[in-house]
Amino acid sequence: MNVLILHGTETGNAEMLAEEMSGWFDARDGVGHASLADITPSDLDAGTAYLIVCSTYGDGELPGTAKTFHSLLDGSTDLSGVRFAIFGLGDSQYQDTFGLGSKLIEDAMITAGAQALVSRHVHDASGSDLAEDAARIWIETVKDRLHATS
Amino acid sequence: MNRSPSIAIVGAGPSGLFSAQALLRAAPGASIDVIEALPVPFGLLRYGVAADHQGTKATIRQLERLFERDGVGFFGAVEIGRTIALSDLRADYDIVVLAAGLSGDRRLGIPGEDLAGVVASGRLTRWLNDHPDEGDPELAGPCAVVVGAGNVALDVARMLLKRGAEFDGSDFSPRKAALIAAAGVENVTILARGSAREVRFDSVLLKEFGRLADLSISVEGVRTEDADGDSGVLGTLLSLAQQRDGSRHLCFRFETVPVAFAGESRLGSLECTAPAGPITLPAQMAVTAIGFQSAATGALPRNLGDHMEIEAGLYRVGWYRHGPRGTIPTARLEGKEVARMASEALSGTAAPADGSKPGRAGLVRRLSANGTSWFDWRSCLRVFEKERALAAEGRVALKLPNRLDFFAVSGVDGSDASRSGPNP
Ligand SMILES: Cc1cc2nc3c(=O)[nH]c(=O)nc-3n(C[C@H](O)[C@H](O)[C@H](O)COP(=O)(O)OP(=O)(O)OC[C@H]3O[C@@H](n4cnc5c(N)ncnc54)[C@H](O)[C@@H]3O)c2cc1C
Ligand SMILES: Cc1cc2nc3c(=O)[nH]c(=O)nc-3n(C[C@H](O)[C@H](O)[C@H](O)COP(=O)(O)O)c2cc1C
Repeated sequence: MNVLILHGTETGNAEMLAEEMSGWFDARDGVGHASLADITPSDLDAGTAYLIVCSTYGDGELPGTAKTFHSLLDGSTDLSGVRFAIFGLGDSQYQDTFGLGSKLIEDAMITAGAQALVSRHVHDASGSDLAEDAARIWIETVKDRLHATS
Repeated sequence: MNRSPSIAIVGAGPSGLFSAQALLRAAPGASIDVIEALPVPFGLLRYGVAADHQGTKATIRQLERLFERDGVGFFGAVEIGRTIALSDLRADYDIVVLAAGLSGDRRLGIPGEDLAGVVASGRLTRWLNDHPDEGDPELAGPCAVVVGAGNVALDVARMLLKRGAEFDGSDFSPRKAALIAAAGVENVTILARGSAREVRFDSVLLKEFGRLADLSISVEGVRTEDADGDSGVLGTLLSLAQQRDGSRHLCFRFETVPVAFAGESRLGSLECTAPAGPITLPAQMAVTAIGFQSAATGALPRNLGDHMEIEAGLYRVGWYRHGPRGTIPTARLEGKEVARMASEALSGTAAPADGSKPGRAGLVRRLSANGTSWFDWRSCLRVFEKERALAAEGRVALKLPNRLDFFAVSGVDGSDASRSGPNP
């Protein structure tokens, strides 16, 4: 079982969290991390679980490094068999568009046939908890699913 | 090369700190120090970004790791060009990156700008953020005019119009909130030279006004042909202007050019020209929000052109390099760029690093020799802890408002604490 943690970021928060997350796996999970800007949908394979950490920018838009990846996820991409999970970063001060960036990725992955391991969680920068703390809890649910299915 | 290369970054705002972050990766093994004129780091993230935008300020948590975990050194309350000469710093470090920002307010250059009641946005936003060098400005109501049509103007208008619980979750000083409320600012006009077509407000910031209780919104000077079917920023603005009753009022006025601040001993009105002719706007308070320039008191050289590399081993980034354009994300991209250039220089044949420069040890020696005590990261942590402990009901923190408090709380020797502050 391989795990690749991908990040989409504008100011680096998602990248930092992705790096941090990669330290929470055992060696047996074969974990790595990379930017969404350095990968294309056709690189994704069924033998790897993809954990995507992605923020929202502008008015509910994707952060800079996630844009190309998302635009390549068009009708022609077939991701059946690919498993993923998404941890979003957002800010509830942006009431109408809270966490929409990570939702854009999730929707496009599902449309392309990929399968979500757990439901998307969005951390709120205006909330009282730290993203790392929320992510630690979330990642346990991901690991449970991974180890149950692999 | 017998030692690891040493890198000094001058200024701990977003561009300095993102440069440090990128240099950690691009030049592994280098020893990196950040030198900051203020006691604590984060520049405009701490002293510019609005107090009610804690989500944006949360990028601070990411940058704290540089000092917390990654071994980057912090030297606060050390002003390069004053406490330590730039030439001395360069003698001690292989690479120096200047990231000192741009803190002077651009002036409108019209009569009356020095009247009591006229305040520049840089000064006001630093005060709103408890910058230790800014005393209380003249606040007065009922009418305030904000000159300028950028996002800083929106921040200022919002902070003047919010009341009470609308600051919940922020770190805005309750004392300052009470001063604004007592000044009785009820009507704020944002004045734009350009036409409504040309508005470049961030629409997300505009929408925030729609969520303020008790606020009505109007627009003036929008041409009918511009208003037709606009779905962009102007559309957002026009739909906000449908908005309702409220005891406070916000007006966006376009195509209006200020020509003079008028008043006897203090501001009473703002004379303007508009397409239909001259108009006089009542104003007990005015805020100029038309940009920034280098501060007259700056301790570092200015106007060097805007290349990232000034000469071998000396770089500049951020607002110090290219003026007041660019945001926190662009500071991150610039940090990556300067790190690439610096690491190439370090590995190149004409490398400025022969390992003979002392780096941190040299800086510490100089500071000790001239009797300067500095804020290291641990001292900063004591400040932040105190600030969280001081938080009032509904606030996340209360920032220490003057330099002496920083020294008292951290235990850093402050006997010469006024050295890099403004003249008393
Ligand atoms: C009021 C305001 C609100 C803003 N809001 C946002 C926002 O919401 N989102 C966004 O993306 N951008 C925002 N910006 C823009 C953003 O703050 C800037 O793009 C960014 O801070 C520029 O970073 P910098 O590091 O170049 O400068 P700064 O952040 O100004 O940092 C420069 C640092 O250098 C220090 N320094 C100066 N001289 C010396 C010296 N001689 N020796 C040592 N240290 C020195 C200063 O004390 C300061 O800490 C805002 C700007 C302002 C003015
Ligand atoms: C200009 C700006 C616009 C933003 N827009 C949104 C948004 O529409 N919805 C949201 O949930 N979060 C929004 N955010 C919050 C970011 O997603 C949040 O700060 C996140 O931590 C940024 O992570 P990053 O550094 O990885 O890009 C915005 C932040 C900024 C500064």
